[in-house]
Amino acid sequence: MKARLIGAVLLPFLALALQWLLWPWITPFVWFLFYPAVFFSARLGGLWGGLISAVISIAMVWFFFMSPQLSWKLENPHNLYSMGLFLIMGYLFGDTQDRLHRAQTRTEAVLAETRTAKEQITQLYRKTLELDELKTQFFANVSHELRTPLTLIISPLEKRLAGNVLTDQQRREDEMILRNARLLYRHVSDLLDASKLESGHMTLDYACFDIVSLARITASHFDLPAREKGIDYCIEAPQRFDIEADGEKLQRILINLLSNAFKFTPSGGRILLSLREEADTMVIAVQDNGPGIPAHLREAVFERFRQVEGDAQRHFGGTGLGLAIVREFTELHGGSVSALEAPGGGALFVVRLPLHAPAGVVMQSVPGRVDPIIDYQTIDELHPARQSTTSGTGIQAGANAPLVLVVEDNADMNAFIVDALSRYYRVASAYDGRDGLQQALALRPDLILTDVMMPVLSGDRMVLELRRQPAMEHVPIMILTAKADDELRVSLLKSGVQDYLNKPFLVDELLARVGSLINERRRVQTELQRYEQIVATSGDMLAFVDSERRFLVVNPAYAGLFGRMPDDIRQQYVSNIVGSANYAVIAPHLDLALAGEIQSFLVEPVFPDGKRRILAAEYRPFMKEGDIQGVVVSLRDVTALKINEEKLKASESALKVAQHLAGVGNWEWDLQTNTPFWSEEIYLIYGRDPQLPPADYPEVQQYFTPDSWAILSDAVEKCLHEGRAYECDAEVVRPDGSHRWIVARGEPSRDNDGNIINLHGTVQDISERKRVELALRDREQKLNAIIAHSPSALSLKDPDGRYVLANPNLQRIHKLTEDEIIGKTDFDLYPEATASVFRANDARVLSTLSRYSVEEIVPVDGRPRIYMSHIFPVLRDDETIHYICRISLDISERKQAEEEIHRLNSDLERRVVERTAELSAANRELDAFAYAVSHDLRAPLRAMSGFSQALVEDYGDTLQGEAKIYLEQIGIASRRMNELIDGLLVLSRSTRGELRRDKVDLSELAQGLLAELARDDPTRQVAVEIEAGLQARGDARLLEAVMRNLLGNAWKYTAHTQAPSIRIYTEERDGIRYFCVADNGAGFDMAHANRLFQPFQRLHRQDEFPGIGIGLATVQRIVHRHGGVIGASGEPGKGAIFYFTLSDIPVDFTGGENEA
Amino acid sequence: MNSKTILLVEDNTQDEMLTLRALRRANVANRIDVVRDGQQALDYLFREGEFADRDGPVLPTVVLLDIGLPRLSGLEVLERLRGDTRTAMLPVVILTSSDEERDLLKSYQVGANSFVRKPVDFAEFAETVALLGVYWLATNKPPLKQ
Repeated sequence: MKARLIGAVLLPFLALALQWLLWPWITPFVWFLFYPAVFFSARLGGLWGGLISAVISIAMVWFFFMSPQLSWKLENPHNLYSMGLFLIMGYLFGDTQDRLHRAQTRTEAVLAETRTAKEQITQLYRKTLELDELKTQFFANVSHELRTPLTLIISPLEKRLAGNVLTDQQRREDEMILRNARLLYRHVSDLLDASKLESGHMTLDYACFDIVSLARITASHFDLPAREKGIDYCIEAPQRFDIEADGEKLQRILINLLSNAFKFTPSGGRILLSLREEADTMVIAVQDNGPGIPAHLREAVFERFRQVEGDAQRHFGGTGLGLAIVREFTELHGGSVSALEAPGGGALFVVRLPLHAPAGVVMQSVPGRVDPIIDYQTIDELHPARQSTTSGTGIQAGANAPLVLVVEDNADMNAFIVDALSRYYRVASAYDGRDGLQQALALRPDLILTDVMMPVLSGDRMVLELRRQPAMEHVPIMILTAKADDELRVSLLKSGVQDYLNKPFLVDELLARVGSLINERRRVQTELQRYEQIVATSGDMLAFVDSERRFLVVNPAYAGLFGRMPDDIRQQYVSNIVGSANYAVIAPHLDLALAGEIQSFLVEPVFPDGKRRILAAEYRPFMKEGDIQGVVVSLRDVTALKINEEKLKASESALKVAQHLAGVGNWEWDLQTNTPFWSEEIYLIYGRDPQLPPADYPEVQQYFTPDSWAILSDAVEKCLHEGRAYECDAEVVRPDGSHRWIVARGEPSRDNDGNIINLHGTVQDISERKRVELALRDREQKLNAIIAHSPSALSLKDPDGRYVLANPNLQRIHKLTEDEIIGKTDFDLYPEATASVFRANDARVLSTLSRYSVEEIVPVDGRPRIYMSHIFPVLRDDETIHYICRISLDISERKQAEEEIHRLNSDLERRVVERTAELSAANRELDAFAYAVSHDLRAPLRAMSGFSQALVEDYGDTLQGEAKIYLEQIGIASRRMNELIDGLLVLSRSTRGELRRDKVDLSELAQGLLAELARDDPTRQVAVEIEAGLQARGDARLLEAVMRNLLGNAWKYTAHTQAPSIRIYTEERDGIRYFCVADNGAGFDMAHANRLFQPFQRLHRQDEFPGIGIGLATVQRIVHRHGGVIGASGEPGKGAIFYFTLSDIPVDFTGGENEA
Repeated sequence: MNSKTILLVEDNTQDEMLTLRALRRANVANRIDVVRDGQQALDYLFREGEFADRDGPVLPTVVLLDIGLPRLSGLEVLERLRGDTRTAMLPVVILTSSDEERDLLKSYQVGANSFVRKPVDFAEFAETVALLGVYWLATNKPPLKQ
């Protein structure tokens, strides 16, 4: 440090020497070499070195270089500033260098520290590696050391078992040892593999071999379990396929995958192992139809010590290394494995392996084989059936001993417990929760001992399920658990488990606990049975409803109300069982009862069997520890009581009604007290005021006619004195004067001594019967009159054809009296041919039971007469035939007249046909004529017009004055002729052709036509008024012709009118709607109105209004064709109105003929 | 221009004269051949019978066809023409005195290109024929190359 400082001080002097030598070249830069001097001084000596060097430099420059040189005088004060600046610079140099130096030193120190630390870490890591190595080694060694003794246990055991010297008991125990030894061996091997994999010491012994035969051999180990579980197990693989891989590892992969599949596939399931080559990889797929793997766990299944557990259900035992090993081994081969969902559910594991070993690997000649003990163990594991051993100990509990159900998935543990218990109890075994549940329900055990961790259904869930079953509610359950899991125990105790026992346990403790639970169970059961019997046999309907309104207890009588068994109703809500209608009635009572009030009431609910029941209900709140826990419901059937009460009431009123309906009243006359009694109906029959007491015997007289009273009083006297009962008709006169007929009946009652003490009897109103009798008589008289005076021959015959009635007309025909005819048949009265026809017609009526009208020819006085006969059955009430009635009218004359009319009619029809044919022929001719006119009349006209025109054009100059006029006249005449032809054609067309039915808007049509007219003659100003929306139905083309003509006329005839106007509108005349076209033009004289619609008839001269006189004729024909009428009214100079109708259904009287 | 010809099928000599006169006066200078009945018209167009060796273009530019013709009616002629590939597209104008709707409909049904009623008034007639000549010879674009 000192040396550096000295160097720092020396440096300015070195600068002085050099600058002195070089001064002539450096002048006037006095500081020239001192900057570097101070810089390096600072570098050497730090802050102090820099500062000292700067001060020295300043002194030297001042003395040696600043003018005047070699003097301390200062001429220029600026030099002072430069010295100051130089000093500051010196300080900055020094400071900077100093900091730089210190920073460097610190960095170096840190670096050194880091290096040390790194060294330490490396050492630690090395130590860890060694430790890890050691651990793995230790693990491997331990595993190895464990495997050797295990092998030494297993081998002699196998030999022992192969021999034949063991008793059954010994064999069972030996097998158990062997199984567990193998299991331990398997666990150890798996752990060894895991540690090897972890340490990276797992190597592959590649060999080239046929993977298919390896797979088949490996897979064949599973044939037995497949057969036992009824699994459809098959392999799909090519014949042979060589692959370079580690045979032992591959076998382990296959074993693990298959054993996994077998664990999860239910009995009767399906497992498929398939091998195939796919894009230079070997694909091994194992597919089952078990529950499959949820998507979120498909990656996790390959983790070590991981098992797919649905909730707390553990499906199978195992270390949880199987699938991890599959993955590790596959990845060692450079392959991959994935879990997927098989088509149709289930799991699908797919392993992909490269076909060839990596380059440069040493190949073994023979593939490795898997350890046979692992092989056996795997198969063992899949054999619950082979494991389950029933108790073989001699002492068995009696048939009445309590039954204990042991639910434990480990077969050996299960057998052990069963062994321990079977001395005192009957024991049943189940190997998983589902099995346990089923057996519990089937066997109704007194106690259930269950493990918690079990496949399919775990113990805790089984308990929940059990407690949900009413029959299992009170069965004590004891949990066996190896887990010291306090939380689970508490939750289980809460959910209804009575006791628990930790594994491992002492047999005595097990027995003691089981014993106490069972004794308690027995005690409670006896108590309960007593109560249950009372409840069950009670005739009353009893139920207990909890505060949630569910039935907890119901007795058979109660359940019977709803046609159910008590177990069906338990735990159900009241509202669900009794139905909403009933519930609405009882709910208020239930509410009050649950609030603590006793309820007593009568209900008449509706029951599914439809039977009427009246129930006396009592709801009594059930209190426990101050809380209302439910309601005791007790119902008593009081239907019979109630019904009897109602019946009595009903029968009284029914009697009253019956008396009224029958018109019968009854009376009693107590002779001892002389008090009469009348029922209500007697008051009605006699018309007596109901407020009055009954009339006594003499007073009754007022209600009868004298004649009737004489008869009646006589009968009553006889009854009174002689005890003779009576019955007689009598005529009643009511106070209001109306008459009724009655039957009076009476009879006496006697006391024990034979004295008449009482008369009683009835009064029956028979007025109606009397009326009917009279009406019947009246009807019979009328009927007889009709029959007697009927112009028809009328008869009644019985179904056998014998006459029972013949009216005078019939008697006249036969010239016999009625008595002579009755009893005879037609065969007695008519010739056989006629009688047969009659019989046949009668038979028809007999079979159809309906009326038959037929013409019959009957010989009368030797001449055949035609009769119109109506034959019909007279039926009894039961629809069987009573009589056959025949009413026959002589229609011979009418027949003749009819035939004449028919003859005349057919003649007329023929004439009409002929005439129609003539008319249509004429029509066709007319049609052809019109066509010819249209063609052939025009050509000569055109020639006339054309050549006269040509004459004028070509020779106009040479023609004399009159000749020209004549030629013009020829032109005019031919044009007119042409117009006439056109008009005739339109006229003829208007009556020809098919008539269409279009919807035509006449307003629109008129609008268009008038617009056309105005266009052709723009000089005219005509006021037009058109009613909107004049709808008509008819042939559009023809209706247009109508409007064109009418409007054309209106247009034409208003030509000389001031302020011409045309109106189109509708008008009602006599309830008919007319379309009207009115103008204020020339008009016409009504005297000529009949000529308006004749063709070629005109009311005006050509020079007044030109025209051809066909338009209106056409209009009339068209209107007529449409089934309408047309008329006109007018006045000369005032205008004209044309009005017409169009039928909605046009009458087409020529339609279709043109088509023919 | 002058290679375009007109075939006039007309049995009425007066109408023929008037038609020709009207066409000439409308300055139609083209050749106009006239036949008198339907059969002749077909022979002319298909170069058969008496017309087997006729000169002039294969087909006229337009046929003016009357309906009421002896032997074969105009409509029958038109039907035959339309049934033959050679003349299926030949422009045919029905020129007739009739204005019966059934003639009109039938004409268009069997494929007339135009339906013209001969007006009786000669001035109108002349105008109509002149229009026809000008239209079919000059304005209209024929379907076939001449």
